[in-house]
Amino acid sequence: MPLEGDMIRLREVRESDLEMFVRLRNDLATQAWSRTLPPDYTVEMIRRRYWDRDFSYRRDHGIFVVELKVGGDVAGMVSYSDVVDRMEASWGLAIDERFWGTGVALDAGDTLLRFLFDELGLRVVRLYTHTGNPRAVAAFGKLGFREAVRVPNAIFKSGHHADNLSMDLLREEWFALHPELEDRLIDPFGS
Amino acid sequence: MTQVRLRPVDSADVAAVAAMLAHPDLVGRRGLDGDRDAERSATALTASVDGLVNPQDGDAWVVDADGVIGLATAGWWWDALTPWTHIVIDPAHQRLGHGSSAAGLVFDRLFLTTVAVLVEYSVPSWDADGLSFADSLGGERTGARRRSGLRNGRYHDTVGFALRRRTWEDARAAGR
Repeated sequence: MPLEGDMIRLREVRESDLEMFVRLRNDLATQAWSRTLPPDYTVEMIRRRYWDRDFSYRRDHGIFVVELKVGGDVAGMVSYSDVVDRMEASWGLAIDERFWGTGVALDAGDTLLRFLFDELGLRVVRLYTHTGNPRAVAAFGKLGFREAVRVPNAIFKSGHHADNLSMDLLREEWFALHPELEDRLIDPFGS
Repeated sequence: MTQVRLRPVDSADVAAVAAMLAHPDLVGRRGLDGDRDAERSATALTASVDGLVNPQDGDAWVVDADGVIGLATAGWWWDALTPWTHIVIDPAHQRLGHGSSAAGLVFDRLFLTTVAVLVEYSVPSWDADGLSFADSLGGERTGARRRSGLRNGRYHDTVGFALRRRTWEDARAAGR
């Protein structure tokens, strides 16, 4: 069963996607800051990053390409990492600027959240961002994420300081946003 | 009161530090990468402590007061502007002011020898003593990572703190 939203499907990374990954990685407006600098990543570097992943049943991350169901255009990527089994993971999203404001980011992000809560059985999902990207912060809020930690002036980017934000989304909060779904996970500790 | 000092963790300290961290009262408070909130043997903790002898993107110090009484770590993997620190004091040496002394020495090092604009630290929400200690260090609360772990059959959060350079400078100028 594919991971599908209304407009998109999530699929594995393919060779033909690498140019897009380079473009997203090197975008100073969104992904390129702090440790990810300088924005000079190459296709070969990205290829080694994704192709060096070994087959394993103990993986703590996943990376998916966001592909439009109609037309097949590639719109960006979503990922998760730092999985603590059945407890938590960190969530990430990068969408090509051509698709901003189209609903693709929300659809892709929510599709990954459904996977994380319904398949991985996580209790909380986290993300890390900053106030220098208000468009992203607003989108994360629409998906249900709440501000958890705000560290003032902790980010320096594009010549300015911004606040570092950690946001999180509890399992029951996500299901409350999706009354059409039923949470059947046994939770011995309640909510 | 015995003078507290920090010195880099040496190979000869690993066994003593690991033995200290194995104390059951320090479950959930050890601050080691990849640790679990469970009782662990000194042997099991040795590999983690061994990695502190030559840490990457950070520092690790023995808190020494005529012997090993604690461990202080600091790191700046993501950004040198915003390092974090974690301090653990042997339960047998707590409530004697050693934690505050060690924290003061760590803040001095980070603010005097690095470009840090603030120093972050965190405490699990169940640790009332730890929260009081964290508040006493002068940092402001930055929020809480919800549901960051399990303890005694309940989820708990992790409360974040940040001590700004200006706050540290003001306290230092006031002789605190």
